[in-house]
Amino acid sequence: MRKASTQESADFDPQVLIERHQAGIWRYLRVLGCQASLAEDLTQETFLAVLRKPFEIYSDAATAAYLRRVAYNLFITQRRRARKETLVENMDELNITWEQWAGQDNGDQLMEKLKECLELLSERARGALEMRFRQRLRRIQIARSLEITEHGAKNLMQRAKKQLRQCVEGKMQ
Amino acid sequence: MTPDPSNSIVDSLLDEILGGQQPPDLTQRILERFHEQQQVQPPVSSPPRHPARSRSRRRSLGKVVAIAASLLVVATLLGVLANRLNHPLPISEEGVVEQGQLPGPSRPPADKLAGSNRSVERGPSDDLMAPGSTVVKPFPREELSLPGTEVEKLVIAPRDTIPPISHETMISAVNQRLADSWEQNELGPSQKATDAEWCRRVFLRLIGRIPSAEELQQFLASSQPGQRPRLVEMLLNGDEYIEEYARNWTNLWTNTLIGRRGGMATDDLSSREGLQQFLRRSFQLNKPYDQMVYELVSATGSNRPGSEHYNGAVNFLLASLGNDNTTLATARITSIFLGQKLQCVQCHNHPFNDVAQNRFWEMDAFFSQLESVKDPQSDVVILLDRDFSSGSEDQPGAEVYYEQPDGQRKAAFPNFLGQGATSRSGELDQFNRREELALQIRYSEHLSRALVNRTWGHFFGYGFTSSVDEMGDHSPVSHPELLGELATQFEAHGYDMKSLFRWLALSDAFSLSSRYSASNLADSPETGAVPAFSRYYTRSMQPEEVYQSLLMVAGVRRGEVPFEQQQLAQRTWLGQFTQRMENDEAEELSSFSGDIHQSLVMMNGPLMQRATSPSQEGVLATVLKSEMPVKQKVEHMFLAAISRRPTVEESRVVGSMLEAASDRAAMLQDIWWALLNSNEFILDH
Repeated sequence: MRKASTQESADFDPQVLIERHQAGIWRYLRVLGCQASLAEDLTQETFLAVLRKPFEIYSDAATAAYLRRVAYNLFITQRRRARKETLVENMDELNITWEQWAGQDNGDQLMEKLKECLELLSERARGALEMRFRQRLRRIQIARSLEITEHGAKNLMQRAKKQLRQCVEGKMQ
Repeated sequence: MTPDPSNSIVDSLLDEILGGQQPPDLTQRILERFHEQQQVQPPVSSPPRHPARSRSRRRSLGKVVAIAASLLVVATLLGVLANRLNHPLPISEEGVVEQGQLPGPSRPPADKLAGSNRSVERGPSDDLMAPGSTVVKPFPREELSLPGTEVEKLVIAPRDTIPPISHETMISAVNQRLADSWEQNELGPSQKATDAEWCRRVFLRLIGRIPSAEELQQFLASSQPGQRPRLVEMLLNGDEYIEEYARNWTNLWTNTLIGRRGGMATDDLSSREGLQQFLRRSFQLNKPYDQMVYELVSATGSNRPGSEHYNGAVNFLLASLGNDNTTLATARITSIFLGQKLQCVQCHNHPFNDVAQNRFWEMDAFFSQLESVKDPQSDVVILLDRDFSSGSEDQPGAEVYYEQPDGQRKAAFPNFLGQGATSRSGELDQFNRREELALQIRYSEHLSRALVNRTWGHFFGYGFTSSVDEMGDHSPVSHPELLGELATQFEAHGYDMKSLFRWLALSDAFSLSSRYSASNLADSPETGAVPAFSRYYTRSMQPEEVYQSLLMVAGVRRGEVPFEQQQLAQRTWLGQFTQRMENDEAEELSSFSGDIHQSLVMMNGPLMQRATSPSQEGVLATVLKSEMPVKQKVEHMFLAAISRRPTVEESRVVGSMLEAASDRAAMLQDIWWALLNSNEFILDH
């Protein structure tokens, strides 16, 4: 961990900063609950806000943490303007979990682990998730396709995500 | 928001993997916006390049100019900021700092102000401390202006102080104040303590252990006048005691600041070792108290000894950070340094006085720029300040929010103990909130009063208020004039802690016997009465004092063991008695109060075994090896353990036991064990 010297500060390149961290910030905002377009806007605002001020570089992890903090503040502001309640306790837990899982590499490693874990799911469970996330089908449509009740479809997907969670946790340790 | 945070993460990542919602490459778009903002153009003639996407608000001409100007000099500012931690910047002759600068020290060292005091410039013996790599902010000593715009520039002036009076005059003033109060309350002081009793308690208060038999005998043998002031001077400034003096006050202040368990858990942000290095260094150098507090409150840098930008002082605040909040830091700073216990108004207005809930949050707002950053690879944590924004661009300032009991949210800006609003800016180059807080504390009258009250409590067992952390309006001061006079002179003597210690140790009250007299039976604070200090109040030693005393009688030579190893061993021993309570105040529960656990450890623990082993170097081995008559051997053991000679009855009983014993050495060992396990051994009386 270090602080930028004067010379290093002069060499500070915003483009490198953006390229290195934008995916992590965008993913983090998505995790907070932003739609893709809003995550895009807030990612842009995050970098612009940070670049307005002299920037000290300690390490990639420290920089990423700082950027996430700015993104988080912008997200809360956006929700406040939209007059939406935000449960701070959940946000705190979410921040901690994201920090543990993806704090070091923009979530790239987490993505790879999740892909591996997806392959370990049963055909039926993976199919349900494919329908939900790839084909954007509603739960009732998934239930019909799998010839189960809507409640059964809900349980199937919940169990599948729980398996994914546990699998990822195991791989991240 | 789903209850389980990992659900949100899995959902969003599945959306990316299966739904094709990939992170976009925004590099060009952001850079274009960035370069647009660098150009000095009114926003009305320069609409956003991506109006459909960008939610950036239009800015006033002044703000755009300011942003553009700041970006043009970004490299220079980065250089200034980068160097700020390591290289103190000069102060102008007028004592006014330029933008981004802080004044350097300008007051003479404490030793010159405090007359006979001298600063010990010797560094730590082993050590660890690498002054070149530490990050310590320069300490402002003169009237100064904080950096800021013309509108927001704030001038903080030190309060007027009166000239210092001599130590002798001050001690006489303390004696007179107490004598007056005894007379008013129709109390008569107890008799004078014996020289041995006084010697034992002054060792305990100043260096945290009982005197050895040799030290006690040397003191008792001195018949010259002024032997007590000489012993106090030796304990405060003598080369042979300076390490023990620093160790004792380091222990006391570490416990005060972060408790006995703070900075010890593997997941703690703070390093206890780092904080102790800072404190030890401060006490070795006899750093003025206001400077020490300023450095603790405004500290930036990394927490671990040996890491880059290391500054041990950061560990106080790091140990006081909660889960994304600074309420514990606020509670600790107000109670420890200012004697104002505010944590109960964190949630509601104070039930017994007019302190409202906003008082706490206005103090808490001073920490809104504070941030800790942990390097996951090295586990080193850095404490720093960042620009803070509440996120509301409609408001000119940066507020923090708190919830009232009725569920309404309210905003708070920095305001020191309700004394007046400060700048509302959250931008560091406009207003450094934590540094402002450190200065407000430094110039607050509460600082010296709280320290005097705490120190009086250390020397006499009770402070001037029922709790030394609580000096609010509803907590009456038992001796207001005495407290005021001590605080005023403490300031006049340059916040020199050794001066204060000297006044208290050499006061009449400190030299009184702990026994009641017929005329002071009412002076019984143990029963809830207001203390009159007409006798010395008996109390149990602190665990650290017992530990250090046992080490001494066990013959453990401190010089052979590095300070950190000593501390580690002490923490391990103390850990048996202390449990952390997971409440908002991070309070701790000590079982070192005469319970069965303490008794078992004292009777059978490894340290006690070592202290009572004839094969180890210690009092017992010395006695057994010596050619002294047996009566003298017994007397030596009594002096070493309980700082007095045996009474006639004790001599008779011990003598008969030794005569009847087939193994006299074993009997001496048993007597020694009994002395160390007696109530008297762990009493400060």
